[in-house]
Amino acid sequence: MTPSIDRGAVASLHAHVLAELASPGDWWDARSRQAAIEEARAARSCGLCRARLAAVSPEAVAERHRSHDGLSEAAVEVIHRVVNDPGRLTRRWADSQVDALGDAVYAELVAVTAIIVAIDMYARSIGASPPMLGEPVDGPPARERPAGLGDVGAWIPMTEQKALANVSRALSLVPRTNTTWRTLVNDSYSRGPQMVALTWERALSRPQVELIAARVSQLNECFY
Amino acid sequence: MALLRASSSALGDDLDVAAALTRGEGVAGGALLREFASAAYFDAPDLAARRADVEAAFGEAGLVEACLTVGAFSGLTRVADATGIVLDGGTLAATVDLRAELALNDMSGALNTGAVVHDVGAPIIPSAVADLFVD
Repeated sequence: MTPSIDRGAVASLHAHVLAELASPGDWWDARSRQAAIEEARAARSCGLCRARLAAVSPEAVAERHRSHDGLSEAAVEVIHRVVNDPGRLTRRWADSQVDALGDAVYAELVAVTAIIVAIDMYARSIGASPPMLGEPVDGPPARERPAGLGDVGAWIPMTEQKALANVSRALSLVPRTNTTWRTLVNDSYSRGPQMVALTWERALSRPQVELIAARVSQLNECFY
Repeated sequence: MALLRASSSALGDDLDVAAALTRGEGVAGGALLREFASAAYFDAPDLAARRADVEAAFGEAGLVEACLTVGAFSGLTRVADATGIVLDGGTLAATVDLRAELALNDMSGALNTGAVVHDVGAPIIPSAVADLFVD
């Protein structure tokens, strides 16, 4: 049986990913990224998000998220909606946030939020505390828009080169952060060439892993 | 869901995906794994008990794999929903029956893929994973 990743290896993986998030990103510096992470963690106890979740539509609640900690109102809105209510996001909502933030900053915020949700959900599942954030590293963001982007039918531009699933290119607009994100997903789930094998020799079989994946997707009301 | 069915098929099982998703049926230890994923999602009071069930059934390594999967898909679903990506053509064809049966086409995210989600017909089950992602 192929050795499965153990707790120590997961701790090393998450430490590496968090160190990357504590470094300058694509369009945000390290301190801004850390503010976004802290906001994502705080979002879980947001009363406004709870009220929206209980409403027939998030738009049915008139109150808005407020700017704070250097994060704009739109940035806070993106973080909170992605953490708490991702299954009811709409193109109109995304267009409004992209208008306010720019498409690349929007993509970076989505990526950073998804990464911290993934790491913290692992911690919750295994019965550990969420890992601590590192000290932010000074330096400018890359501010590079990659070549080869286009409209592939999604809400933001993505690479027109399709290697595998659409989700694997979803964050190609922000290559530095996307590398961090894809490292996390690869080591947690797909593991390189194993992704295209229908049988796995792990501690859980592929159907067992895919059942968990399908259940988590169902609970998050994710059509994709 | 498409990979759940395809990977079960590769093991010679004709999986009832709806029964697997609702009760964990048809997958070895499926009920335990499904209940664990649900408890983790809701941060339920019985999460520690469900975690112990998974570790007893699959060992420490199995528990770590289960937790990694919960984490990865908690992130993947958010990236998919926040970027509005279209469902891949091969997956669309492979799930035509399941999406209708489970009312998945009524989900908000189905709008990204457009009217084609309401196509009907027999599913085209791929023999290779890569075929799920061909447009």
